[in-house]
Amino acid sequence: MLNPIREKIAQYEAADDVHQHGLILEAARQYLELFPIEATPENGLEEGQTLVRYLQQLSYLGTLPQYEHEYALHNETLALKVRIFKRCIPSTHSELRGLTELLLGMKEDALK
Amino acid sequence: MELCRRFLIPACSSEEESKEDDKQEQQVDEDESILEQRNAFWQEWINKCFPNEEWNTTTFTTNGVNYDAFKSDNPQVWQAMVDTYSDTASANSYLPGVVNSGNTYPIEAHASSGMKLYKIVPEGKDISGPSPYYVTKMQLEWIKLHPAELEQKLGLPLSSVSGEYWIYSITSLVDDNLFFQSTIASTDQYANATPNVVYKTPGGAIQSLLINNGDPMKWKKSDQPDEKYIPDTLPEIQE
Repeated sequence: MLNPIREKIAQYEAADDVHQHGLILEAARQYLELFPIEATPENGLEEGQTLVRYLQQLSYLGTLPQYEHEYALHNETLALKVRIFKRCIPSTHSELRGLTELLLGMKEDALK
Repeated sequence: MELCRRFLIPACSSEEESKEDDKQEQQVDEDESILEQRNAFWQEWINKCFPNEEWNTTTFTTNGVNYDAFKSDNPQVWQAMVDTYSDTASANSYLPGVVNSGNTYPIEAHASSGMKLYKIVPEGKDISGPSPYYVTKMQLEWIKLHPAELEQKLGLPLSSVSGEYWIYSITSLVDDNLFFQSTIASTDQYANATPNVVYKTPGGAIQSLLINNGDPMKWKKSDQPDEKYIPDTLPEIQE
């Protein structure tokens, strides 16, 4: 089930081109469908962390002139990053999940 | 008729004030007229290049300096720029685009506490994003003195042009606040579906690159525009 996500990440890495950011966004959307609650160390945690790292780098996309004012893209990138980050925190650590929202000042529902 | 008109004017209004009102109304009409013309002008260009405004199918290139040459020729400035990113991977991915947006190598500049720089954005947009492209007060004044060249000198992509612009400021919160400056490079933009139609700009203004503009310890962004600005003429486009 994780293979399509892994493939998109691999394609993005091979391209080494931030203009291919659509691959990471699509992989992230698929990841959230696959893990509506949480990932586990045995299933999806590594891919989740990889996506968070790439989504963090994509937060600089607005530094390129052609993406400067694409606010919908910036907002979606931020929302996906936070939502996947939460999936990477085990539900046994629900306080940490809550702190993630506290640090960002927004509830996950507001990010969807 | 004149008598009737006089009766209709409020008692506190003189004839001079009435003329002043007429002038103001005329000015508002002229502003609306030029705004409509400017909006129509840009819409025509956008329709020509990107019929469905699908920006992700466009190719936008800045014809600036070579990143590797800059890194090799100015290793200290390059390192200072890299250090302003939160991580090296992000710097490696995005700094080449920022450097290539200028046709001169970036140089270091320093803002004193309280110094303001400015960003010109399309009407309705803000400066909450990470975009590092700002201008000094002097550049802003120059641009306003040459309104027909605003979009061209700033090298704006078609997704950033507008009939009206909002001007925001960002204020340095510390002394010796490092940023970088270069001259804006020329740009080419075309739709992948219709590569024969090219929108070009020559660039030429001096851009101030505030890569760490999101650092709340160093910069404070205004959340309201300092000014809403309608250039009083149609743009002049490089064909």
